[in-house]
Amino acid sequence: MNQLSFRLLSLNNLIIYSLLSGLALLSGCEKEPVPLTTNSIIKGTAGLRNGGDYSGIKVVATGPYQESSTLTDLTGSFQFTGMGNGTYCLDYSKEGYGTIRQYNIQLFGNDTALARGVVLYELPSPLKLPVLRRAFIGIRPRSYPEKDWICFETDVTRQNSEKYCFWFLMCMATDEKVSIDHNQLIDFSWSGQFNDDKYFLYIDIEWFLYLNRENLPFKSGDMVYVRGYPVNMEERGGYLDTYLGVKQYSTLDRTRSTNVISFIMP
Amino acid sequence: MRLQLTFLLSICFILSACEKDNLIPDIEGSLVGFVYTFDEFANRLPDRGDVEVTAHGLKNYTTYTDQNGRFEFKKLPSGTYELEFSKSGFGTLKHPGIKHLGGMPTTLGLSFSSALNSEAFFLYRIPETIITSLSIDNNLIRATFDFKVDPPERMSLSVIFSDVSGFDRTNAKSSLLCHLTSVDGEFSGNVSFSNLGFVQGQVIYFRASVFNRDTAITDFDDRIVGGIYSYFDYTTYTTVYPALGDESAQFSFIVP
Repeated sequence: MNQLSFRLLSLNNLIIYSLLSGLALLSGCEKEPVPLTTNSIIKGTAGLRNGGDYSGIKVVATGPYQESSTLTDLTGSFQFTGMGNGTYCLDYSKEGYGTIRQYNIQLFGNDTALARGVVLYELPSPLKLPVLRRAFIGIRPRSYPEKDWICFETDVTRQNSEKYCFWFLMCMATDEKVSIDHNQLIDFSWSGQFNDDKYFLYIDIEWFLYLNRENLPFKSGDMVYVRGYPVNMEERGGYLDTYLGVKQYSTLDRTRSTNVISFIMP
Repeated sequence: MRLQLTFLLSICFILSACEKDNLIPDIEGSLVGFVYTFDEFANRLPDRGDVEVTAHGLKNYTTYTDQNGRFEFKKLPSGTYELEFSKSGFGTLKHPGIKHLGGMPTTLGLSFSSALNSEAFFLYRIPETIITSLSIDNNLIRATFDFKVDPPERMSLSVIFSDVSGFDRTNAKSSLLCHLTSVDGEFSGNVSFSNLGFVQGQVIYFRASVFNRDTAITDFDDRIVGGIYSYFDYTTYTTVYPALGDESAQFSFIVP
């Protein structure tokens, strides 16, 4: 009798165990979807802002299944074949360049999806960032016609200028906690020059006001705080992240920034 | 014997579990899009939040936009969906035929390329302005309005025409869009009858609705965002303008 009950118990255990393992396997199987079709193609081109050799740009296609990766040829062309149905995104990267993600590549059946051309920009120099000594509205020397600029005096001199990075994205806000994640306006149009032995950075205030004429977040008399982040200035305008709905700068270095400096909005 | 049977059964069960592998699963993924809101005069509103977005497919899914007008359906099964956008006080917009394949996100509307126009969903406030009078005289249309807020400088009207009195939008003979500008509070604009199919001397009846629209806006600095603000209703075979103002009373004129 005892033996029988023991056998029944182990039998029950066995049934429960096999049921559980079956369920575990079932859920395990669900995690790896199988493509309905596997004959789609993604084609595209990628380029580099400087230079004619576009080979060696890494393109990674991520979709519902495993990742695929390829490199561009000399002309920047790349192709993925034998792709399963689903929506993919492409990540473009190359050593020393910013990375870009492109969304919404849709494949079904015999599709050949053409990815829009992408240009990668060189990362900003790793050299140190200048200290912004003061900011003010003033005349820019040796510049005609004579008009007001937003002027930033730096600690850079002619002797040490080659040790600095001058490529900036400038974040502006009306409080001193201004950063890349906390700002009311981002400006990109920068130029600079030496006045005597000091290096100055400039924003054309006329152009600044014109570009932001529709929704300038600052009123005349506002104290505007500014912080600079290294970026490749050629990437003017950045690119649109269609998933987040925000502008991105592929070469932006979020880990380094200048000190915060303020000026009074004219 | 019993034990052997159980073993067999459990092996069958395990095998059947893995056989599911051969079935075609629903691929899930995000579906993302952007909504812009406007007042009845086609001015952009800063608050783009709390728009209810429903994806009608084999099942229905609902989500809401954030303050930036962004909405996201997470883990939406692949399929074709009709999206419906609604917010209290705004016209309900529909957009059929959204193909969602699943996997990585389907991103609607905004385009990656700076050169290309892109499309988002434009939601307009239902007009509160009432058209109090209309007149047409020698290709000039005049209107007076009862504004609930500060009057704008321009108004657009969708005007419908018929040679039969007592008509409405469903049986109008023709329609046109006219733009009126305000001079000292008097709104007027040009209207051309050459394409309406009426003959000189004929008595024509007309009505109008407020129809201020912006078909494209500039956002993300230099990028143009086009807007979907109407849809085709396949059940009635008509184009629906979700936030068309109420039809005015009927007025008449004689074709010059």
